[in-house]
Amino acid sequence: MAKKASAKDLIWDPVFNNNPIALQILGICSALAVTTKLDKSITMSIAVIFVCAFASAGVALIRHRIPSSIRIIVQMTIIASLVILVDQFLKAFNYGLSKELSVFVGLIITNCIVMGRAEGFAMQNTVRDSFLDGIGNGLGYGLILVVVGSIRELFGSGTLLGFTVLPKGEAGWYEPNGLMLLSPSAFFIIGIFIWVLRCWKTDQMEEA
Amino acid sequence: MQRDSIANTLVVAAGVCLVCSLFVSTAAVGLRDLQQKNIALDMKKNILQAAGFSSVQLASSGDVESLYDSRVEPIIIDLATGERAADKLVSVDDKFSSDQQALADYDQIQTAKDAKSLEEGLSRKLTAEENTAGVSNVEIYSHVYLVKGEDGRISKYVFPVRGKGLWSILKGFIAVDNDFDTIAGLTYYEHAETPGLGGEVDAKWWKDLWRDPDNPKKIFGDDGNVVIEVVKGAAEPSDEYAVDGLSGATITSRGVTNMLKFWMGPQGFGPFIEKQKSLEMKTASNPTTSNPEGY
Repeated sequence: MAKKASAKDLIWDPVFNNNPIALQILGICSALAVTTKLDKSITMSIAVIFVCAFASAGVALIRHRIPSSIRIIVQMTIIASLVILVDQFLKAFNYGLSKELSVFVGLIITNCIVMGRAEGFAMQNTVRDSFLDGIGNGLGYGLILVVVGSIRELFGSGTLLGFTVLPKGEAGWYEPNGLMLLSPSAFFIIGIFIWVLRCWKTDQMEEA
Repeated sequence: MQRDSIANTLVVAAGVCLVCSLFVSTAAVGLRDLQQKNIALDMKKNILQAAGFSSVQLASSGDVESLYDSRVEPIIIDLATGERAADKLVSVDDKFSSDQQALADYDQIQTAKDAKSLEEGLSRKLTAEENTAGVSNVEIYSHVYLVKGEDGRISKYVFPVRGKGLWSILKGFIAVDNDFDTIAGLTYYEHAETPGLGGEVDAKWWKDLWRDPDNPKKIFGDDGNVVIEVVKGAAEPSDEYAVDGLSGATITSRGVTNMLKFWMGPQGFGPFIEKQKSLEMKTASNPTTSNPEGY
C-alpha cells in the first residue's frame, strides 16, 4: 500500500466502508450461529477482535521471515494458538457462556476474516497498522453481530441481555417470534442490513 | 539466511510452533484450577436444577454453593446391590478414601471409560443386549445425590444418567421424588447434539415438560418396568408415561428414552430404588424404630 493510512482510517474503514460481512460477505457462518442472544454476540465479537488484532500483529512481526511456501500454515498456527487462548480464558472466567458458544469459539480459527486479514494485509504492512487493521475488521464483524444479536433477542425472546423488554407470557402482551431464534432469520437481518448500508454508501452497490 | 531456503523454513516453522505452544500451555496450566472449579460448580448447578430449584435461586455461584452444601448430600452406592459403598471403594483401591472430598472427586464416567478399571473391579463390560443406552462399559459404583427439603428430610433423589444420542453421549441428571416414581426434573449438562434440534434437550421449554406440576410424569408402570418414554410428536396430556418428542430429532429423543430405561432399570439404579422402597415399607410398618440403614 503506497499511501500511509491513518490509525482512524484503519480502524473505521472496515466498520462501514469495507465491512467484512456486509461488503466482503465473509464470516457469515458464525454470524448465523451465535446471534440468538446479545450476550453471546458481544462475547464472540470481543473474541474475534482479540484474535484478529493479535494474529495480524503477530504475522506482521515476522512477515519478512515467513517463507512463502509455508506462510498459510504459519498464519494458521498463530491464529489457532490465539483461539485456544480465548477458549481457555472463557472456560475459566465465564463457563456458562463458553458452554453456550461451544464449538463456535474454536471455529474462529476457520473464520475467513481473520485468515483474510493475516494473508491480505498483515503480510505487507507494519505491526502497528496490522494490529489496528485487525481491530477494525473485528469491530466490523462485531457491529453486524451486535445488530443481528439485538434484533434476534429482542423479537425472538422479548429480552435484551436477559432483561425483559417486551413482556410476554401471562402478564405481557408480546408473542415471541420463533423464527428469530432460528438461523434463517440472521440471513434476513444481514440482508436488510446490507441493503440499508448500500443505500447510505452508494459506492458499495454492485453493478447489476 | 535466504527467506525461502529450506533452513529458514525449518527455523521459522520450529520457532512459531515453540512460541505458540508456550502461550497455549501456559494458559492451559495456569487456568486449569479455575476451569475445574467452574466444571464442578456447573455440575452442582445442574443437580440443583434437576431437583427443581429455579434459575433465580441459582443466580450467583455463591448461591449454588450454599444451596448445594445445605440441601444436597452426595453418597456413593454399589449399583448392583443398591447399598452404600464408600467403604468398599476404599478396599478396592487406595485412591479412594472415605474422606468427603475424595468421594466428591470420584469421576464415575471417567472410571467407566478407563481400561484399567475393568481389571481393578471398578467397571464392567455390558453385553450387547444389556447395552441399550449405548455405553459399553459401566461403573460399579455411582454417585447418588440426596436432596433434602426445608425440614431436613429427603425429598428427592438425583441420579446421574448418560447415553448415546445422535452425535454424542448425553450426560445429565434425573431427579425423582421420594415416592421413587414421579420425575422431578431432567437436565443435561453435556452433549453435542444438533443445536436447535436434538440440542433442545437442554432447552427450558423441554425440561419444563419433565416437571410440569399439573401433569407429573412417572417412571414405573404397574408391573415395575420402566415405561416412561419420549414419544414422537406430542404426547397425550393425560398420559403420565409419555413426554413430547423433539421434532427433527428422532434419534436424540430415542436416546433419552433408552438411557432412562437403562439407568432406572436393573442395570442402573433399579436395585437402589428397590432397596430404599423396602426399607421405607419396614419403617412404615414399624414406626417406632428409626431407619438405621436408610439414607
